Amino acid sequence: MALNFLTSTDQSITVVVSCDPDVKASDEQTAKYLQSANMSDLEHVAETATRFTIKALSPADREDAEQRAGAYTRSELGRLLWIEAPSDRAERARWHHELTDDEREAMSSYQSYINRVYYEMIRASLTHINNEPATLDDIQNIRPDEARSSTISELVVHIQRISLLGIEGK
Amino acid sequence: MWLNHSRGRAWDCSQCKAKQGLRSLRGNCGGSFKRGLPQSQVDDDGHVYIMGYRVAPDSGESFSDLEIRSCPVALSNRVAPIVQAYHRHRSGLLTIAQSYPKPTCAIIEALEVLHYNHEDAQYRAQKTAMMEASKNV
Repeated sequence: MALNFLTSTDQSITVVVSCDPDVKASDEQTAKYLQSANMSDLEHVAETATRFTIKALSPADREDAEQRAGAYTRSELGRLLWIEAPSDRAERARWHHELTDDEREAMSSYQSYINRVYYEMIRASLTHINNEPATLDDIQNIRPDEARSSTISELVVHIQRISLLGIEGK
Repeated sequence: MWLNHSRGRAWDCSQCKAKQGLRSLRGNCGGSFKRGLPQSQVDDDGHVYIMGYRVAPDSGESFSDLEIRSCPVALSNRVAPIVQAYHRHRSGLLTIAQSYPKPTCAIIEALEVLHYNHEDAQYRAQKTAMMEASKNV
């Protein structure tokens, strides 16, 4: 892993997403691309692949995004449970099964908050799609729904990588 | 990331220039360490690593216990402009806003980490100097 953050909010990068039919890549290549945003890490990117241009976020952009998502009203119990949840899927499912109704609601509320933070980060960062000015609504209109959620996830990974220092930088 | 601040016995690019073959064993500036690297160890997966305190004997606790798998000097060279901006700010030549008019979260965070580690290194150096002075009394 290497340092790949940007130093100015005037800078932007152009990325593609692995769920695009015009992008061919194995899981390993996709994982590498998400760390580098270097298209040569992918097996093949056709000229017709959709290109997303995103800019790095400033501390103010990030704070605004979190506030718009509801940082001051999010469930703190949900956050605590989110941190405590086991990472293994099967173990996590059993752990979740043991939660009370209140705890499940808090966890669900926190998950919604996290999703809203992702949307707001994209709203603040996405500038163009295929060199045309774009907004979050353009991303929300992507169908099928799996492609929409996968696009959001990958864009958020790129935004975080170019905007945040990450563990490697510390 | 680790920054050499006191030279001494810590890793440095000059060592790779002086000793033939060392740069290759240290991963050619950023790659994985190679077997045969002096003082290195091998984990269960066969990856070569070296303990943080071997790389930087004067580093703090947070770095000395790390298993280092690629040259931290190569990584720190990549952030040299940020370190330079930090030192210019500390010496009063330029403000952070002049160096980075539109900073990203990463730059702010990097400068905070640099400042914390810079202060921590100075504190360690003072503490060592005081201990050595008390031994001489």
